[in-house]
Parts: sequence; C-alpha cells; structure tokens
Amino acid sequence: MNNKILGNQGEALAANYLIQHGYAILAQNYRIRSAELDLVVKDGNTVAFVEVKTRRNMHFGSGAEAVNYRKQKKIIQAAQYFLQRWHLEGRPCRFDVIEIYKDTNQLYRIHHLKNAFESH
Amino acid sequence: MFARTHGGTTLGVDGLVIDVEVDSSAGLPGFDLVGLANTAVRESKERVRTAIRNSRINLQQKKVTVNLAPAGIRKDSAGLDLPIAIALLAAYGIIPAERIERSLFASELSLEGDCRAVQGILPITITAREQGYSSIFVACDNANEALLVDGITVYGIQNLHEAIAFLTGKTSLSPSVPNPTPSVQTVSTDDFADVQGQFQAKRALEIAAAGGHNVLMVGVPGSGKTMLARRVSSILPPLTREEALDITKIYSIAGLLPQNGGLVQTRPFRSPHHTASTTAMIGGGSVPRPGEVTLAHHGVLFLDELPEFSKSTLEVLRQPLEDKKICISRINASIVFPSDIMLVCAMNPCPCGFYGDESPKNECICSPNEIRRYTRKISGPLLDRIDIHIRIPHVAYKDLVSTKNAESSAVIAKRVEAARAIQQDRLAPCSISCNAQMNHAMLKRFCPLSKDAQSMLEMAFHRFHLSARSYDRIIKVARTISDLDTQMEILPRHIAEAIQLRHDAGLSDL
Repeated sequence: MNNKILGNQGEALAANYLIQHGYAILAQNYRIRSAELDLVVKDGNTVAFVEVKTRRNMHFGSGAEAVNYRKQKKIIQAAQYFLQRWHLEGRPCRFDVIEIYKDTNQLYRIHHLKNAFESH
Repeated sequence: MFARTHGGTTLGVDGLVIDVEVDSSAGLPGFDLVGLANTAVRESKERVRTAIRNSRINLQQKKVTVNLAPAGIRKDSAGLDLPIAIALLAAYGIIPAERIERSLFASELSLEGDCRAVQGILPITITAREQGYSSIFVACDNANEALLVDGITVYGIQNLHEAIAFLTGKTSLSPSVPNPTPSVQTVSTDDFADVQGQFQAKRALEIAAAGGHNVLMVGVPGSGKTMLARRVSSILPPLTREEALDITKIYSIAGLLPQNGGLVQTRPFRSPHHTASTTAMIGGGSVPRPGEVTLAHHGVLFLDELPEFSKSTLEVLRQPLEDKKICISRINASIVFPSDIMLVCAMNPCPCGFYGDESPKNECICSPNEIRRYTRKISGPLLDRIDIHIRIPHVAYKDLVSTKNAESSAVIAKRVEAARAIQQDRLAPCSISCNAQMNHAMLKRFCPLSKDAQSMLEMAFHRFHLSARSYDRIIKVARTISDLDTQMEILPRHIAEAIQLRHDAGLSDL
C-alpha cells in the first residue's frame, strides 16, 4: 500500500511543478479501459502527455527506464483516445516523463524529461 | 509541410534515382518510413535524427512521414541518409524547398553528422546526369568517383552542417574539382621478362591476348602455369576510357574501389579459389550482386587447378563466355551483368600431375580410370569455348639459369596492341572488337584463306576428325596469328600454328 501512496504523492507533486512552470492541467489520472494517463497538460498550443514515476532509490532502475516499450504503447493508445474524445487531433503533441526521487531526509528531486518518446 | 528531394541507389550495374518525400504535420509525434526500405535504410531514422541534433538544430517533434519512391523497388543503400535528412529539414522549413528540387544527395551519416562514403556513387551519378539533375552532393571521400562524370556539378561535403549552411545560403561552397590524378603509371609488377624459357607458352599467350581468345594450359606441377597466367593482363592492350568507366562502375557497386580512388586504370585479374560457389562465380543474392565473371569484366578470369572446381561452378560459365553477359533472375529483380572476359585456365594432366611428362624420373602413377575421372569434370561444351589449348613442359635447366633477359611485357604488349588495332578496323561494322567474338558468318566474311592454307586445313580436317566447331576455332586463331604477322590473308603457316595450339595439350580426346 505504501507504494501507492508514494505514487499519488508524486503525481500531486508533478502537477504542482507543472503548474508552477506555466502548464495548464487538462486531465489527471485519465483512465481508459486498459491504460491510464497520469497527467495531460497544455504547454502553449502543445498537448503533453506526462507519465510520472516516483522512486525512493535506484535499486530497481531509474524512473524513466521503467517506461518501457509496453508502457509506451499503452500511453500512446490512451493518448490517441484522449485526442479523439476531445477533438484535439490537429494539435501538436508530445510525450513527457517526470521522475521524482524521494531521499531519506524527505526531500524530493524532480526531473522533467520532455519528448521522452514518440509513437511507433 | 511537405518537401521532396532525390537520392540514389543501384540496381545491377545501373544507378537508380529515388524520390525522397517528407511530410511533417501536427499530431502524435512519430517517424514513419515507408517505401520498401531494407534494414539499413529503416535504421537511417535514428542516424538522421541524431545527426540533425548534433548539427545544432533542434527540431520540434511532429508527425513525420518519409516516403521513398518508386515504392516497388527494394532500397538497400545507406546513402539515403543524407537525402532523408535534407528533405526533413526542408519539410520543417529550415532549408528552402526549391534549393533541393533539382539536386541529388547520396551519403551515409554518422551520429555526429559527418558524411560517409557509400558504394555505387559512379552509376548513381551517371543516372543523375542522364535524368538532367544539376548537382549531386556526396561525401568528400566519394567526390573523386563522382567527378568521373562530366556535365553535373559535384559537391563533396564533410558533414551535414556544411550542407545545411550552403543550402540556406549562409556560406558558399565551391564545387569539387578533380584532384590532379597521381601520375604514378601503375606499373604491373608481373612482367613476362621474369619468365625464363617457355617460349611456346609465351607465344600462345601473346596470340590469346591479341585475339581475346580463351586459353587452357595443361602442365606438370611447377612448370610455371600460374606464373604465366598472372602476367597475361600485363600484355593486354591499355583500357579505353569507356572500358575503364565500365570497370569502375562494377567495382563501385561491389564496394571494391580503393579509398577515394578514381578511375580503375588496370585490367582486372581475378583468380577465385577452386572452392568458389556458383553464386560467387556468376553473382547472385536476393538483390543480385556481381560475381567473379563480372568483376573480371574487360580483364582476365584465371581458374587455377581447373578440375578441382565443382562441376556446376564450371558449367555456369557457359552463358557468360558465349554472350559476354550474365543474366541473373531472382524474385526481386532480373539483372544483366556484363562479363566480357578472357578466360585463362590451368590444370595438371592427371591427379599426380606427371601424365605425359618426358622426363623418366617423374613417371605418372595414375590409373587410366583416375585420369578419366579427373578430366571428366571439364565438359566438352566448356572446352569448346576455349580456343587455345597448350601444354606447358618442364623448364629446361639451361633456360632456368640463363641470364639472357627474356622479352618484357611492354614489347609483347606493343605487338598485341597493333594486332588489336587491325582487328578493330576490320570488325568495327559488326560492333565487336576482337577475333574471338566472331561468329560463323563473320568468319566467312573476314577470314580469306589462301589456296594452300585451304588445302592444308582440309587435310587436317580429315586427319584429326575435326568437328565443325573446331574448324571454326582454328580459323579464328589463325586469323589472329596472321594479324600479328600483319598479313591480309591467312597463310599455311598461320593455319599450321593454329592447329598446333588446338591439339598440343593432348586433351583433344577428353
């Protein structure tokens, strides 16, 4: 259960971080049948789909590493659905990953990877 | 936005212009490459993107579609990296699209953005010129090769950054100019002056070179067959520019040109090992590539230890020897490669090698059956295509230690050249260049026999039970001998020598 709480904390942190950097949140935890988009935000005219990964340590690889081919495919699928549902097909898009590291003295480090991957 | 430019690939020995179309639009970011690209081309996606980034250009991610036309032909050239990169930059509006409409690009890109040399630049440049392109951009290392073609501006570029700066008008780039070709006359290291004795063999090879005849040398081990064969290309007439271009084209496609090498100046000499497969010999592969007979185009194909070759490898030589070209049909394409070769073969008369040797010390120990099995590999039809058969005897001791200088290749080459010139004048109307290529009708027309010669040939015909084909071949060789002798007519002595060159090997009963 601990991990889930950590994840939610991370997603909230990421949302705050993005708002501070001038993004507008379009959706949070947008869920379709088989996949979920952690955050959908607007950067100017661009729609960015953000996957948030929170880690306590690097024992099991970095956060960005965890967004593998399978995960990417799921995100892409959800993104396609999202664009269609809200009639945003013509907009420029991108896929971002935000890694958040929580170290022992309760400090957080946020790493925002823009254009982390693209549709195949 | 949409942009189009042109790249090139090769098909057989010819170049092929590929239209590279790129469209970029909003939507889910991605990079799609369509148009029957093979793995090397499909991987260009990663090279192109990294090379652009390392040329200090940041492209916003968009939905990018790349199309290679004509879509029906499999593209297998890494040289499509550069045109894809250039068209992509034009689709993003970084390079003005009209600057690249009439240009062709051919180079591989490194991750850093450096241009790398690719195979087949010469045929691609020739095709580009024929189709009216004004300029071609190639890697610096390929510039010399592209410059062999007149009538098209060649730009040799170091890296992608240089090309972008030029095409956007930021810097100027001067067209490449031919390097003053290193004036080292490629002196053949193999010279007939090194061969002591063997006067008959040398004479036979001179005749063969003069008329473009194929030769079979039969002799005991260590008699110098290989040594003689290696020197045949040193007495062949010098290459004409067209021939040199033909050869360079083939070597360019096969990727055998030396680094930044221009025109091939020497006649090829190919000596495949006897384990060569059929495909290695005539070419092949799912996208057909040239084999030994094509790599020896306008030169010498030397088959040492002829009976050791597999039977099928030898039999496939029939078509190229007859037609001077080889047609290879595969599922992807049917391609004709040129193969105008002079075939030189060497073999021992029997497995132990001493059958028919005069010296009493080396008596042949093979049974008749073994000898038959050994020589059976070489079929009649193949032997029929070899005009001159000679026997190479042991070198005599007094010849071996003789300090007298043997005749050098340069002197022999002069005579060969003169004889070839005579043939060219005579055979030009039939668009062939040497006596060996004459067919039966041409023999009748160009080979007038003196009366004595005719009666001599008649005698030989009955005496040796000659076939119609052997009869033709004797006349052909006699024609070459009389050309070397600068005689209009074929005289009895020419016929006599020609008959000897046919029957000297003692293989006529094979």
